[in-house]
Amino acid sequence: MNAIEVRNVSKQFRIPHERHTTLAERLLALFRPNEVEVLDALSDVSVDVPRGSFVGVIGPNGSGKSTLLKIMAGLLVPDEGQVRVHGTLVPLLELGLGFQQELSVRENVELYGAVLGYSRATMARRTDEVVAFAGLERFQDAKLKSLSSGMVVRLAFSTALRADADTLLLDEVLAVGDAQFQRKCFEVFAGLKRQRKTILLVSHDVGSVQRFCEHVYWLDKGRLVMAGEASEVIQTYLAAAQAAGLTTSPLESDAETEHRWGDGKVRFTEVTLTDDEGRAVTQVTPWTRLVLRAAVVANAPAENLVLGLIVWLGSQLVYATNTRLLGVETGHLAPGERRRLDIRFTAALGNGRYTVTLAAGNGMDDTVYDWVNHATAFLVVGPRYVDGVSDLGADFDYAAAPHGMRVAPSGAKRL
Amino acid sequence: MRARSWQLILQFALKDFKIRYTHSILGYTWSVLNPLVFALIYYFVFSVFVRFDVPNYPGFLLIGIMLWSFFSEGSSNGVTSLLARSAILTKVSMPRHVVVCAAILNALLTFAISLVVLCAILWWSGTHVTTAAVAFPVLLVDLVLITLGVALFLAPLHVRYHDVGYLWGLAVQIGFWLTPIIYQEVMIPRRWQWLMTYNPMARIILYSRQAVIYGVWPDWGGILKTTLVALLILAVGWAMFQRQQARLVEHF
Repeated sequence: MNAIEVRNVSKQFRIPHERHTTLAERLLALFRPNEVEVLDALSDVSVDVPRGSFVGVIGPNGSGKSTLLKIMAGLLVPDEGQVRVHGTLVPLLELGLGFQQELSVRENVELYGAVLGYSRATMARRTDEVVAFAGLERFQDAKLKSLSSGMVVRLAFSTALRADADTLLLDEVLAVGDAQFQRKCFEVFAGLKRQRKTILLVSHDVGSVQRFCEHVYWLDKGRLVMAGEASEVIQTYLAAAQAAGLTTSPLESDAETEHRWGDGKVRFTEVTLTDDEGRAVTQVTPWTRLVLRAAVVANAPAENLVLGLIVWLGSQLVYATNTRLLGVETGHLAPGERRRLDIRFTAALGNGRYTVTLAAGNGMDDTVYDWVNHATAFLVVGPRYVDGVSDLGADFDYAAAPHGMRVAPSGAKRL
Repeated sequence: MRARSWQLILQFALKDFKIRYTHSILGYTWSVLNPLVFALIYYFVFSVFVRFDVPNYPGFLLIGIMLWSFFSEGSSNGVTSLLARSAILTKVSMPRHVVVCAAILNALLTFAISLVVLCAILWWSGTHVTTAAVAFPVLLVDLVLITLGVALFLAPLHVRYHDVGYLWGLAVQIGFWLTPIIYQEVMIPRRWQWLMTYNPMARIILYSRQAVIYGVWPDWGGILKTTLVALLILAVGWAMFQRQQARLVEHF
């Protein structure tokens, strides 16, 4: 039994070219057919969301994810195809819709609750629950404008999670609140799963999709690229993103861009990434030894040279080090001198696409000779999924313990 | 689903009503003060400067202005209501007529307060309210139906063409002078009187005055006709709204 069935849905948006700025132009435009840009937001997309399942939709920006969600929610009408929804459905495309600064916390929950379909009979009880879940009992009669923005987000999310619907559509709303609040939310998700509620999660954050979803649809440019079991689709998606990323290396251009800057006294000219047997790699399993080899040339006298490496996961810094921190002798370079730099490291990393920044600079006055973001990138895909940035290779040894036993005779910390 | 619509209409209307007068000292008094001041000015101008000889002119004036104020406020708020709530309408699926209905209900709350003031002034001016006043609620229902019908008709159009809102604002002002609100219907030259038979607002105000101010049983046949016209306006408005609402989100 499917909670949502989307059959061969297509949707076009017609975006008019708005160039009539004067009245005369406007009048002339009346006699001309209006120029419009036709955008295929979705073409022939079919999606099944089984009842009681947690389904994810991934894809880059502008791939049609949100359009699909809006069509499922009945906010947009498809040009072709059908959408069938069984049971009640609440879309959560934005948190705190209709929140009013001048109303109190309770009043806002009532208002938002009515929008989300709280029934009248349960309104009072649920309002109490929501306020308690958000941890705002003390502020329930305070006006919303006197709350911190974090409190407002918590309130909005709490209200949304209490929505009285069989199916919830979530659009990248997971990343809110502090760690403690997120833990509470995950508990609610687990609860929703137990209640056999259906949840559709749309996100370009692969992590949360991988964490919750059983089944994943991958959209690109309005077309369905792949559908299937979550880890399978996500691995293929990441590999494709990896391949696309490699086709444009900032090393190929000498121009100053947002990805590359510096005064150019020293420049990186080449970079390769291999395993320790010298084979070029783009995708590795965790714990692989990798060698990043870079060629460096001096165009002008360069003093106090420091060479550095930064590894990123998205915009999150994973690891950074340089020759000075490691005590590697680099010294000075005369014009025209060339050097080879080998950086050996272990990919003790969780699943994901990692990018590498290479940097050369003057260690004394911090001038940058060359800074190259996205110098190279690699994909880590492991046989098992671990949450987080790094793979510490944990091993769980689990055994029975006699009553009263201490794990260590002394020195064990009491929890 | 029905219950949800009602719940939403009520929540929207009550919360809007509450927000409207925050940061004001007089608060809800403002909703009465406005028509009251205008009634006072018209009374002064048209019974001291220009000598209209209308029996119980204060009551006559006040009921007319209050009925028109409701129509004016309700329809104008209703017409712009969809656009005003575009943030919610583009993100949550809900019956969209709820938003228009809430705008009308909000105006109705203001009207209810002004009715209390009307009763007080009628009592103070010594008007005898007779059993004929039972016709008044029927006329109020007609008034609400017409206001709702106009708002439902124009609100989706306003989303596409913002001119509609400005045009309607103009129409309401013109309508105020073309409807016998501060003057009597009999003052209109005979050859223009036919206009009034096609103006349901003129009918409602006329019958309301007869029933409440003058204690005369109004013409039930006329009331029936007005009710039918009101139902027709609502039906046309509803049909228009249903036709437009599906693709509404794309036009915001």
